Amino acid sequence: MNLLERQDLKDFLVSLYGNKVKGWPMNEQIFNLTYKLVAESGLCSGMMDFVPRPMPYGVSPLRYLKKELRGIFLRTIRQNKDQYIICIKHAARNMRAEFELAARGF
Amino acid sequence: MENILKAVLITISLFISSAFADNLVLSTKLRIEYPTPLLISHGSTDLIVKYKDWTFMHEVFNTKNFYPQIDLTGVERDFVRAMFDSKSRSKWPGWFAALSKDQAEAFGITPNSTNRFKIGNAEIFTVHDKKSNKGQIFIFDELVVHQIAILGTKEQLDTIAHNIKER
Repeated sequence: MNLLERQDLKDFLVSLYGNKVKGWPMNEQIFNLTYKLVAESGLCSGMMDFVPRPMPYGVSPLRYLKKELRGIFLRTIRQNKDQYIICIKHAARNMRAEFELAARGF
Repeated sequence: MENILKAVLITISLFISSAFADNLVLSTKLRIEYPTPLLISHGSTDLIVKYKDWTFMHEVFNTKNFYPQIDLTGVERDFVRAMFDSKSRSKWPGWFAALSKDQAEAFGITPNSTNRFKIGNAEIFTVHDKKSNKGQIFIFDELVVHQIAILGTKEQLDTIAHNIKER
């Protein structure tokens, strides 16, 4: 991820999990968890338009997604974060421990 | 003979140390006996305890961490109770009932996936969702509600839930 993509991802996750995200590294694990959260919640139709399906089981979304599509996905979730977090806030609570683990490199 | 005795003693001591339970003190009234982990990591508001194939994370239930945009201050216990007890939702405003219902679904709360019991005066609520292999334990302690997220099996969740003890 480039600098802009990392910032888009961080902005979105701050809205979802609060200011503690500012101390998280925006790494591959965090991106993959975000993608999983969006893809598996399946609740935001607008957001789902940017989730390519199907994705082979076990692959890393960060590596699988073409760079251009990854950028659009991150830009879209950042620009529409207020709308999207409403759809995924419950699923996000269920994945918080996984994000905390990823943020600490486990 | 002496070497054999040493080897036996070392083996026994290794077994004892790996089976030894550690204590996590929750309050003046409660503690958890948990198996010795691979590592423990302390975050700004949480504690992660990691094993080879499962993990648990403890934090004090804070509604601002739970939903940064929604203020549930003062009704934390009611919110948790409403997640586990669908009948109790009817006495709350529609938005509160809907919020707790949706979160209950996300945690996989059904009559078959939950357990509820008391340790002393503390009320404990647990849920384990087999599909996602995740669970939650909520402990109503005297002053706060503890939340423990489990990334693991029902048996691993029970390892924690059934070892919540009075001090």
